[in-house]
Amino acid sequence: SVREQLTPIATKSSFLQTGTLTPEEFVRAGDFLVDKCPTWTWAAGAEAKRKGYLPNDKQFLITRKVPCRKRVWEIESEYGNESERLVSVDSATVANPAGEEVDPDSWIETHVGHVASHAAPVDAEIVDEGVDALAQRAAALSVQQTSAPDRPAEDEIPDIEEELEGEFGTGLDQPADAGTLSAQSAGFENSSNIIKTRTYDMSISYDNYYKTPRVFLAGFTPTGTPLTPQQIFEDVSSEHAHKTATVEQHPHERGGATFVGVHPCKHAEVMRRIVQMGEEQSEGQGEGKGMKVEWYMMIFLKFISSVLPTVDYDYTVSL
Amino acid sequence: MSPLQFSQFTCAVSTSFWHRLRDLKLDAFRLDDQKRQIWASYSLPSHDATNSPPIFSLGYEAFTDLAVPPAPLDVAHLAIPSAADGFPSSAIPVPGTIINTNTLDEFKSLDKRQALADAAQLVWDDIQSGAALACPDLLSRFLLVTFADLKKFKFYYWFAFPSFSIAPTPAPSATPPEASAGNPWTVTLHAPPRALGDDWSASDISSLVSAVKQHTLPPSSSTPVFFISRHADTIQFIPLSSASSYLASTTSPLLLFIDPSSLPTNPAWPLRNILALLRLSFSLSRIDVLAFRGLTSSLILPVTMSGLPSLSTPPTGWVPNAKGQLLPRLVDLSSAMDPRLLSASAV
Repeated sequence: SVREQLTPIATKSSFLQTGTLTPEEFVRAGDFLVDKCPTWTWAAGAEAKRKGYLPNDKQFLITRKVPCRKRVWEIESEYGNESERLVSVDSATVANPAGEEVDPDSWIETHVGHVASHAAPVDAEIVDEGVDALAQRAAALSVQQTSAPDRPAEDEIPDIEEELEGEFGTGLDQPADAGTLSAQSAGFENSSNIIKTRTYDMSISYDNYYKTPRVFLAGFTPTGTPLTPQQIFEDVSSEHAHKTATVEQHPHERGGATFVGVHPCKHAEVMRRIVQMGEEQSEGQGEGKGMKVEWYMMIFLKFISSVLPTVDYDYTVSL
Repeated sequence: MSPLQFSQFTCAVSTSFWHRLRDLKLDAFRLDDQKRQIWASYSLPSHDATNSPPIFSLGYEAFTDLAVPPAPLDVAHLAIPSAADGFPSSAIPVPGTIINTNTLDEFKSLDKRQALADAAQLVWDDIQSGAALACPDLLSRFLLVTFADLKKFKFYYWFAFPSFSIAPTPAPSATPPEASAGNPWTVTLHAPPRALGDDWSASDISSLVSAVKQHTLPPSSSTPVFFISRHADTIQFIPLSSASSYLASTTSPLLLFIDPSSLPTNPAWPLRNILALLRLSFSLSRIDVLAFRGLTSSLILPVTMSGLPSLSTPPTGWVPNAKGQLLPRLVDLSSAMDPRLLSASAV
């Protein structure tokens, strides 16, 4: 965007004070993520969209074909009213359920009780003392309850299949083949796990206006059709869909395809709080080493998992 | 003896591929509907995938060289795309052919049977000439037939992964068929698939995983299939091009292939043509296949083959739609492409 272009490039580190990153720190935090979580890789993207303040081969981070087994409404109804907490810097500012007097800097953490399925292995500890613990401290500052949304209709095989049947008849006659696994024998047809498992390509770019990472999503249905933005919003927590998550062009990908992006206007503030709590925690324990900027991306991904609670991307580290 | 069944790909075509095809159709191809070379890719199953069919990815980067005709591929100069072309470094590129018709009627009336037979013939020729031994990527060649309805932002498409027909497993009482051209090709498991962890120690598996990563990832990138030779603590990878001496030197050959499937008993489709190559070129009848899926879910498949693959039976490979019918698919991208709808949803 123009605003992004006109903003000078940050060179002075201030992530402890403001929660923002310089491009150089974005690369360092990204390198650490790629090193610890091999499912993430750096990508160069389109040459025409290259940002000069980032290395050519490290323009953005991407992880591909990440499973997403449930829709948000499923876990929102599972965890019900107790699943959302308002993260606020000022514990005095607790809003009423109608949402008036909400601290403008607050961020709703959703699905507090939900644990992504990959988080189970014991060796997959979160960074050092645990980003989880930090996020929970952040969450504990103040709590607001909201109600779960109405349950939308189940995904159905779209009418488009019917349309093709009308145009093409019953299909090609291909001889039976003993080596082909049919959908029936694989059990896909009866397995709700397969039927509902979407896959996402998720990328993280650097936003020079907000000076924070920024998340973009493109996804596929279980049968390989690209998800529409409306469908992607089903995997964004209801508090964020259409508000902080919007349809946008990817800053680095070629081809003009649209993606769902998570708007970064609140990222720095949330990150600043989590980072500062980490600081206080380590000071309290007499460690005195403080938060390292390398951990930023892990913490950021932990925080984004409250926006995308069912997208099982990897942000765990085995130490 | 149970038949070995291969899982077909779920084909994930990104919207950016359709954007790219639209732009090329408007600016470069126009009414030229000749076959063209494209590239897609597949990867290991995601880190925690279980019971998922393999995913085949087609994106903006599919058209690497617009001037290259699809067949025959000049193996000596086959430019396998890399990260520089926009392919993920962990992905295995697959060459294919696209036929983009000009009208919906042409898309419908295109002789699908013949198109698949032609595509299978390419694989057959590469096996016979030895090209596939030098470059096993050629075995996974695919066919994509498309029609782009640019006014309505609708894209019709149909994938085929050509392979030679596999006959039903003969009943145990029947006399085992001999390896002659007269007998149809069968592929069976003479024992149930077992987890790699049953045969290999955890430390052997982790050294295998890092060796495979080094062997297949850039800059030393190599094809996704090779033989394994284990002596004491050393694991050696042997390319298919050295198959004769390898097979002569061992009584229990072990083949590793990068398996994008995470199904508990079924490998992904590319193994089919790899086995066809080994059967046709070396009359191999028994081999252990290591379906490599990463640290935790790799399988050993004890494979027995009889008969011979041939083109006298029509080849197989058209991918059915979501309902299991042999019909093309349609994606409606009006919500992602139509400027009127886009401006309405812009925030």
